[in-house]
Amino acid sequence: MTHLIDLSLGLAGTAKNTGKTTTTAAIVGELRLRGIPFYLTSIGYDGENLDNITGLPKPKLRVEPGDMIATAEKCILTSTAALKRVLSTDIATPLGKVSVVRVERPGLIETAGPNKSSEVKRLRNLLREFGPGIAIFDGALNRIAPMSETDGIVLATGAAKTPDIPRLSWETRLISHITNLPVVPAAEILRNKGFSTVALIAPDMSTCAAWPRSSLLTETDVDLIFSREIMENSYLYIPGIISEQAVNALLTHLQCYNKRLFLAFADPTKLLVSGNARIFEALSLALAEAGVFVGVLHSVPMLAVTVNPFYSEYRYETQTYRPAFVDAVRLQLAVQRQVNVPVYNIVKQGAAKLVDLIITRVGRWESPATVRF
Amino acid sequence: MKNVLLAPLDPVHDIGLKMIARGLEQAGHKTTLLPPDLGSEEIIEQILNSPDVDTLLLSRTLGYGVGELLARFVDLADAAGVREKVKIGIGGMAIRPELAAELGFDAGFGPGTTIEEVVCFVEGREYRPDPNRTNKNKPDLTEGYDYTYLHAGIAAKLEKISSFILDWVKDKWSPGVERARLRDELWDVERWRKREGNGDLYQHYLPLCSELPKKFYETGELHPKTRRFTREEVAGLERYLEDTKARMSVLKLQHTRKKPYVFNQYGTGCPFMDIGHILASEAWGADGVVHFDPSWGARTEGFLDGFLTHQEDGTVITPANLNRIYLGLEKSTLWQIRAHRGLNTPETVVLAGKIGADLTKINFCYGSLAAGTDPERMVVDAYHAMLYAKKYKLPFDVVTNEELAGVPAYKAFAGMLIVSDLAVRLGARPILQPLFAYSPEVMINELMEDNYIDFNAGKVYALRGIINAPIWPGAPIGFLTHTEDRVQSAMTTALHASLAASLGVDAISIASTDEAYSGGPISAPAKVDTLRAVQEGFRFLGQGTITPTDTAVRYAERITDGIEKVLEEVIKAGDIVAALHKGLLGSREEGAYPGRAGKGTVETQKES
Repeated sequence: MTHLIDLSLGLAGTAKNTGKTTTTAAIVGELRLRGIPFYLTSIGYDGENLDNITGLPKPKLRVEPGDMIATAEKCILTSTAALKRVLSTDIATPLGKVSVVRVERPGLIETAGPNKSSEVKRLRNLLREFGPGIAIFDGALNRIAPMSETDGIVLATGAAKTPDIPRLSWETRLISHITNLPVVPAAEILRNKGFSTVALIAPDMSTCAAWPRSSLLTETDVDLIFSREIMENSYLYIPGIISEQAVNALLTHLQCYNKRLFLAFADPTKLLVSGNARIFEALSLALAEAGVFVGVLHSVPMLAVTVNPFYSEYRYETQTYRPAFVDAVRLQLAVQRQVNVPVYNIVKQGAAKLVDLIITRVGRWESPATVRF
Repeated sequence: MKNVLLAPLDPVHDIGLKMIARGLEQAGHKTTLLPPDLGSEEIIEQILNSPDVDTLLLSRTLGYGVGELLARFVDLADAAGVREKVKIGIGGMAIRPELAAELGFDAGFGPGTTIEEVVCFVEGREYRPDPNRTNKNKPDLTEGYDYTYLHAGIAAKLEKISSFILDWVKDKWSPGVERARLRDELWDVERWRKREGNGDLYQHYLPLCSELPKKFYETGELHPKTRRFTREEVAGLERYLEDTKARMSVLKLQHTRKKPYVFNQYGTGCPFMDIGHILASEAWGADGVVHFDPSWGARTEGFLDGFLTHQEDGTVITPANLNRIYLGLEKSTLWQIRAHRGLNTPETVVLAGKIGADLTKINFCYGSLAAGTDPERMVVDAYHAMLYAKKYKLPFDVVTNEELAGVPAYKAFAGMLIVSDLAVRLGARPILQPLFAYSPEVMINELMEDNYIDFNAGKVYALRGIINAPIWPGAPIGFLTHTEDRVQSAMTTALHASLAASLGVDAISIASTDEAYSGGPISAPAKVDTLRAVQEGFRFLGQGTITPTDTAVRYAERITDGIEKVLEEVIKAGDIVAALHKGLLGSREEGAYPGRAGKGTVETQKES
């Protein structure tokens, strides 16, 4: 197959120790096996010997000759692999600036990449300029906002989020629901308009009103919007985040509104970061009944879910954590029943099928210098 | 001027933020401190409502699950679009830069953060720590001392004693003295370092050695408890040094006082492990390290050669062992190689001087009364060792550990002063080393019944009343007050260190917390215990003082009187070797036994 491919893939975890790094290592191993080029980086910092919070060991990423890694200066210094710097960037992290290195002799490495959405986007563009390949952004902790700059995510969840399997599968369903939100019909027009604050747009795509802030955080913010006449088939665009309070206020107003309205968010991550997926699910169901179409401008689909039965159990008597596991099969089946994307236990199943799936999503790489006639 | 929003993400904790807010205001910035217990969205809302805010400083005491909470906060800020214009820093007891990076913050401030560090972050400047904290220089412990006597009676007696020692020793020599001469004249350290060999040193050296080194040079047979490092081990050491040196920085233990400089001892038997221990000591603030060699080395005529490890404690003195250790040292670290007690005393000083040591240790009284060397041999060898110490500019301490055998302080001090006076006359730079210890004399006579302060202070008062010389209590301070309880041991070391600081002495030697009870090599964590404890002791004391009771002065008077009487008796004996044998500087009843190693080896040089 041709390897002139282009994809940026996010590895998002619902909590620490849900298996992001294990999934990343497995994907990377499979890509290496198939000779598919990739760039490995992370959102923030990962790969420490010991988990910063629980003190339990975490896997460190082993890299092989030819692998391309984007990581911060201090991680390059402490890596046991022989590395050749191929690109220096001015993307700053608390561990120094990010550089792209090629592995020349195998070893272990820690990855520390950009931690802001805007810098993830910059790095993605720099890597795209560098050449074809799958750019893998391993998410640190439960960081989700920078995933908005990827073409899709693999969600790593597991007992570390909660060992309560029914609750975990229900939470995964909520995330799946949000990441599956449709793109609103006028998405391209709205993207081109480049709104950076909350805006109300008429059906003819003229701007009715724009407010000074990007996010809806208080009841007052919502009341202000509904203090004016809103035409049917208008778009309410929220580029930032929405708080639980604002969601409830929105629901109250829209249930009385009784006209068709498009409620548009920039991308699913803006809803995921609020951490109130349960309320948002209730809102979207109620809104659908009230004739409101909820969608996004940019889609960041969830491609697959990986589950990890491991969790750290707190021992009150010694005030320490010890490793514990939930039933792996029960966990995988329970999550699979709730989502309409494949669910894998990477440790047991390997990453072959997951990589098959990822490859179906790649685009054709073209040099940014390509001129079209 | 920057506009800084400070927000505690805790229900109550905001003391740290208040201190930082005050520091930022003093630096000319505008600060707004939000009340505790606000939700993440409420803090984001405050930022959105204050478009001029350019920095947000959060504080949180980390516990399980809080990592996720903080990451979510950064996510909210990112998704709300505020991260593009607002820098976010996080502080808290468990925060380190790596954790802040993992959580996605622009900076992390953990314990020990200075206000200046936060100000630099707010102002977008690179933080450069106070160079005094990390850039240490090697001090000269003898600087500012002219060795003038303040006690005329003792001065006069010491002059007489030195005079008859000099008269007696001047034409004496021993195999040890001859080996030192060969090492001094025939061994070119730079050529040896370039792997160009030892010249013809060993042709002349061999006949002056005892059986063990002879066998080694003739057949390659080593001491049964030593072996050479393998090639892989050497490569491992080099990798270890390279990795560790890349991350290495040194720490200063002293708070607002410059002194005392702090020494600890290494000598696990394995130079590789020693290097690890030295690096740990340096990283945790030791100003100097002391090489401890095996006791059989002191009873052996001549040194072995090669990079050797020893399976018991005490690291063998060989040129290669010392050189490897030297190459591992930080530039600021004072390095002492002890030469004081055996048959290789003068050659040890030559070797130490050539390889690059800063200090040595010489005392013929201790060496002959408590370390097993024949007094006659020890005096002759120590005399030449002092001349080499002068030549190689190595100040040396005059240890008084014969006190640990039971010799009373005034006798040990009389011996120390005899050695020091002789050294000064030879142009060398001695450092007085009284023991800060719960010694047998103290136990028997209940001199520390009330406190550990007065007798130790009395010793320093006594010495200060006699001579203007540097003082370096040891070795180690608090000896015999330590137990196998590491907390107790660290505590008592810290208290003795604080007393030493209060008395204004120049240096101290400290033990690790497992030194007295390890039953084997001491461990690096136990070294860190006492270094940390001493640092806290110095921080606690600052420029404050510990005031001894009037008893300290009485003890000082008693010690001074005792010294004078001992010196008088030594003069009467008219012969230092006889004085040592007679027990004038420590008797058999007091636990001091004149040694036998090297007996009969001193010869008188023929007139040429």
